[in-house]
Amino acid sequence: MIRLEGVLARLRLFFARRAAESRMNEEFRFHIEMETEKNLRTGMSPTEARRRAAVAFGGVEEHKEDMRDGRGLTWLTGMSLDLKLGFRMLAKSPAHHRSTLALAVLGAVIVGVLPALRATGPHLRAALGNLSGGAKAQLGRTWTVLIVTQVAIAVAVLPPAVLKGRALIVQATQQPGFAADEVLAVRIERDGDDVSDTETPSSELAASVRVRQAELTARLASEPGVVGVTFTDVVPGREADARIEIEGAGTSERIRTHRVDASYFDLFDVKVAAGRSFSSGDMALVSNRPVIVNRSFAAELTIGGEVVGRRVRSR
Amino acid sequence: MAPRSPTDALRGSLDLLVLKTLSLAPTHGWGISQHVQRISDGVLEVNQGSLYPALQRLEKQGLITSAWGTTDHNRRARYYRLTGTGRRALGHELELWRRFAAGLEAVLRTS
Repeated sequence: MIRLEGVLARLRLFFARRAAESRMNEEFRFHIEMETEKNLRTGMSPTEARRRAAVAFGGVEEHKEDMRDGRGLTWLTGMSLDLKLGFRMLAKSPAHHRSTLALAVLGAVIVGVLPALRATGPHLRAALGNLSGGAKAQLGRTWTVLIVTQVAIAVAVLPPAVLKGRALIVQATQQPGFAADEVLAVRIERDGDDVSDTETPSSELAASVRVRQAELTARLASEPGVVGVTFTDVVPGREADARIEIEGAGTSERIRTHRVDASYFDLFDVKVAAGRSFSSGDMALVSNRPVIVNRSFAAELTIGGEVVGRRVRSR
Repeated sequence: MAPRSPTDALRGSLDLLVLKTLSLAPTHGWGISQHVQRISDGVLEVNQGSLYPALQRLEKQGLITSAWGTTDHNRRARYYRLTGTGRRALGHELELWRRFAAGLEAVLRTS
């Protein structure tokens, strides 16, 4: 079952803050404009009328902060901004990357290497030396196993941690190519359906999914502030790699793929340069589905000839 | 003691003035500030920017509600309206204020 209430709750939360800020700005603007017009009616020059209105209103940012405090969101906005700025600083300069890496190494030395050296230092070895032969041999093996395990875990965990950290920084700082601040992405899962990303769904299941998507679209579209709703298998910028064969090219290529529905390109205001966009009829197809490729695909892959009409096969 | 301005005396009574103004008719923030200024012959002047945090607080308390509307000059504005709870709160606040004013007046009349 799709947890629609959870989706709607996230949607409302997303819009609540933006709506509150927008409302505040519009109310303040209206007030100052009305006061300016009142001043103009008394014979003031436009500049003076505007200035007096602004003075009478007081510090706009101060009043905004008062209202944000009243809503209890100041700490949240500040934390979000701090994180964003931190990630941007990291991405902007290689020097920041190096200093971050140096700090990470320093942290690893402090919390890992130094305690390990201390634990296996001369005092402990002397203490172990006083033990009887059997116990000494036993503790020696235990320490060896512990240290080897610790080093193995550190070696195994470090590369994925570095890669994950790098991916997080890239995700937080890259320009997605669309107004990401205006998009709310929600992951939807259906209980009881055994469908993996790589598996082609049966026609019955695909039809069932389309019905639920239509219901969900109608509910979401009726929410105030929602411009449009679309469905994709991943958020733009997080596409998975896939290997495909291109008809006539005699080779396979690893590319990033993205399953979307018919409204996707319209919602992101993407114009199709050649061929056609998706139609709702395309969504019902379980095989021979149409594909749209980007300019890089057409330009960089040496497939030869016309791109439109070419067939590709996912491996 | 430094003389207090009428605006200082107004401090703390803003909620009462807002509720009273909205009990007459729904209006926007600027309308509230103009009403208070006009009825008091300019003696009471609402600190314009401070009005909005007060409106937000009253709305959060459920004493007033708001919705977008259109002014006579076809401008979009946020209109505030007194709720049933707000009307009862206004009655209570008025009673408190009148008792306070009567007490103050009684003290000031003594010679």
